[in-house]
Amino acid sequence: MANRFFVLPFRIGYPAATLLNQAFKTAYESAARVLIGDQQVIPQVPDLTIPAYYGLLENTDVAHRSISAAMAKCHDDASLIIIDLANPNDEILANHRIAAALIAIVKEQPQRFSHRKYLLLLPTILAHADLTMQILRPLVESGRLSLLSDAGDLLSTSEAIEPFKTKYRNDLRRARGSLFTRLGEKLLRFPGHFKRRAPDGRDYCTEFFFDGRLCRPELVDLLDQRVAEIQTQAPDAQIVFHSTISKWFENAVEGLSERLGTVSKDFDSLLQDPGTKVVSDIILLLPLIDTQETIRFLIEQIRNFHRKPKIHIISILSTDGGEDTNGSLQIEVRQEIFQIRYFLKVNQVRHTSTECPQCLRGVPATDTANPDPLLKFNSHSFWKLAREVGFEAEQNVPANRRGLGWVPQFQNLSGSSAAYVAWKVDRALRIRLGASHGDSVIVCPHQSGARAVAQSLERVFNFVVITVPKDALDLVEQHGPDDAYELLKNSYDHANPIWFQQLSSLRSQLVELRIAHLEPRDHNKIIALDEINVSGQTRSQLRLLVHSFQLGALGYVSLVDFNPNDPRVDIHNSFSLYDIDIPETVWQSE
Amino acid sequence: MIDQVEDPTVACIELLATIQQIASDTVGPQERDKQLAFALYDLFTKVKQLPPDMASQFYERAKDAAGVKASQAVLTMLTPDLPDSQDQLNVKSRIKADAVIVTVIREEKSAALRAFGIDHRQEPTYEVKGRLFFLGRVSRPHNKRDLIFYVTMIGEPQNVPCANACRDIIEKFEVDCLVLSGIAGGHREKIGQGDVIAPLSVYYTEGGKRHRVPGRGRFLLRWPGQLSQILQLLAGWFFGWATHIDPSLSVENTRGSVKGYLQNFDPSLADRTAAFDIVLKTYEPAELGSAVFKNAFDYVPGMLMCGEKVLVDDSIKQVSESVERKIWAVDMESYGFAATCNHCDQEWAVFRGISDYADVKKDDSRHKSASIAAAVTARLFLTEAFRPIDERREF
Repeated sequence: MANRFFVLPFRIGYPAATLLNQAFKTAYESAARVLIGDQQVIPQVPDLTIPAYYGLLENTDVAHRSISAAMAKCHDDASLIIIDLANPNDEILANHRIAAALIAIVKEQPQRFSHRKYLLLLPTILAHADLTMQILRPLVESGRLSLLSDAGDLLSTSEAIEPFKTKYRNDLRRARGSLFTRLGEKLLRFPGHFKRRAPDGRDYCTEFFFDGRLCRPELVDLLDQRVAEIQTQAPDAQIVFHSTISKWFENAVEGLSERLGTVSKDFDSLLQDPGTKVVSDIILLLPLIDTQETIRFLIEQIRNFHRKPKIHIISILSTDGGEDTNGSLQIEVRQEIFQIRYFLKVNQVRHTSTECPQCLRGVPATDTANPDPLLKFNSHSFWKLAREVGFEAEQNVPANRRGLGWVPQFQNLSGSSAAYVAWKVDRALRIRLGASHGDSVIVCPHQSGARAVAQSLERVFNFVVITVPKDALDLVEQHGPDDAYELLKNSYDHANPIWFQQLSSLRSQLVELRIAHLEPRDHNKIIALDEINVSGQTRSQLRLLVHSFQLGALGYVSLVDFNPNDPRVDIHNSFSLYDIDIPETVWQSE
Repeated sequence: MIDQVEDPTVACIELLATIQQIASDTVGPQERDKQLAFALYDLFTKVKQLPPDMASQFYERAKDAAGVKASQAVLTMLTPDLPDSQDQLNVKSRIKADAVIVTVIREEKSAALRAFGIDHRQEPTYEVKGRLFFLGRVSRPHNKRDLIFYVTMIGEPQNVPCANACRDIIEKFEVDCLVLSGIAGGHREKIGQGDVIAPLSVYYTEGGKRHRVPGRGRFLLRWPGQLSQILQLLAGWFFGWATHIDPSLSVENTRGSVKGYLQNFDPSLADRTAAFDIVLKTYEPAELGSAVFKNAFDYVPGMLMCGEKVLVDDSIKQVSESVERKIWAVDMESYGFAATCNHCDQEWAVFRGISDYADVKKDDSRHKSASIAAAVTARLFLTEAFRPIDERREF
């Protein structure tokens, strides 16, 4: 007989449901097989995740109702229920309230379900003394509950089926995305005018500053993997790092040291420490290999003091090398060949100080410690982006105005440019609206440019994004918010599109919070987003749509506002990241 | 610290460059014109924040950059009229700057540009009555916002040109502190060559009353009435005539918060020396020639004497003894500078590097050293001691 398993894919710290991708469904099957083995299974996995928003984390009653409601959809035949708490936002772990609610629900299950087993997926097996663990432990000891960590460690009265532990670990990694891909998606590239000095004293300027402040977890994981490879051959290898202006890199090295429980030395202290002379290997970590002058200088410095140790060089970024990710290159210093392993290849634009166009124009130098001090894009950053993504004829022009002609194609945003835009939007949301990815939902029209920006917010900051088709927005505008909900329900309920489910779940979440007499904070943390604003029509449509679900928009953000002095702003906290004032006579319908 | 708005001048410089790039490297006339249209609209959005005459400088440069012939249609369609009198009421009348660094001679300007990190080949940002203004920005410690400033050169010595230049600057720039940076002659017994003085007061010593007196002034009689005049005439016939001056002093003092900042300003020797060395490295060996440099220079607050003449007679010692013992240096512009600033209620500071002792041995060998020392001290003052008006917390 086939084993049916049911999954509750909770997402702690997410304010709304998101689409569950196929890779996670595969990982859940592997998790089930850790207990069941290779017997035939029938999975019952929903298409959307279950948001364990902050209101749920803070109140056992709310958590209880939410988990019960999700559990009610479980098929009676299900013999295993997988509860996923292993994929939180912001690395938030399951707390004692969720654990208590879970225990209560298991105990409340009717007698006919007493054969059911529960498998709780966690990032790591909690410590014995942990309060949450103490609540869960009796159920584990009774044999009804098992815990499975990201690494495949099982805490259970049942025996784990070994091959599936590894398979679960690998499938989970695949579902979360490759570390290299995530590094590429989250690496920031600040445009500016960065004046630098080479070790030989020559001055030069670069147009970009690469910053990995958002990818610390990925960097720690990647460095850990690479260092572990070296340390299997050379256990006493000394980790040394060199950083002059990259604070983000020092933070990542600090994270690595914490994980390994060892001390990483900075480069200067390596040269002064006589103890280093006895190590067999030196692992030299750098943020970027660019002109290779710095690395040559460092190697020569090491060789002046330490002739014997083998030098392993790991750089996060490189402007040289054949591979885009996970590549290597060789350099020769004093007739010795060194291999440099890098994680990501980047493109840098460099000028000698005598030929730097920005120097000659009189553009002040950008400070690497604070490369983007403005809330909005500055002119240089905006035009760098705009020319990079290209211009094309404006599409989806609303009926109430003429087109602007050619506009920047933000749907072409990718890699570190997309991360930079996401970083700007996120910072503006936090500063202007006090909104963050943990408590805010982005609602945007289903148009390529707006979606690209929203998706970069999703990838980089785990924002929940709801993309609404244009015909739904038109329908709301035509009928008004009071009648629109019923019309939308009739039009879309049968097809049950994701955006409709997401907005409906926000509506029911609000009801849930009201029943619990809690402050409905999530109610007003909906952010409307668009790529450009001209007449304000899409902004108005988004406001009406949100209103029709009895929700309210906290703010509206656009990348470019072509009508920044428009007094008819219907969402109070409206702002843009760049303003170009184009007279109404250019775009107004005749 | 997050700034809300980009400096409009920096934005316009960037947009001019963008317009130039689009005009030169965009393939296809239609795509080029459409992109130019956006960039021009953008420029026109930003120049609205500038005074009309500054804005017009950017309009003209935008036309040049876009290529008038190639983009005639676009420009005709887009270029708004220059602000009329009604619009002028709505636009900003002055450009905001944290400081304007005023210099007089080329060596001083060159040192100031280098000390404030401006490439000496950089194009000027504005031209005001023939004087060029170079935009710069310096970062400050403790995560404070960058300072925006301009460097300019008057080009001719003496107080009147300096006063005129100050009036022009104050008219065009809304500046928190006007700084005069350059060289001066020093009191041999009080201050060394290459050192820097920042005066809290500037004494103008050219004023007074000129008399014709007999001999060498030995018969300057102060008797009352006609008797004195008769005796003086007699003495004059016998001994000949000479000129005597009754000195009359005018003084201008630093005011407002800058006075307090100057009193508290005490840069360390290490900072002064390091800053000096950094600037010195930016000179080519050929530019340095036989100049003499002192990187470990001293900094002193004090008093400054100002006149209209180049002094090579060591007279600063006499003035110091008879007028104010803290007068340690002499120059030819600081009084016009200070008086104009005070008249316009403008905060100011003067930094003077000592290039000579205003005596017969005076030469130009220490002009560069003194100019650099003054400029780096001005920078240290602005970045470490000075607070822009929007950062002051006064009760």
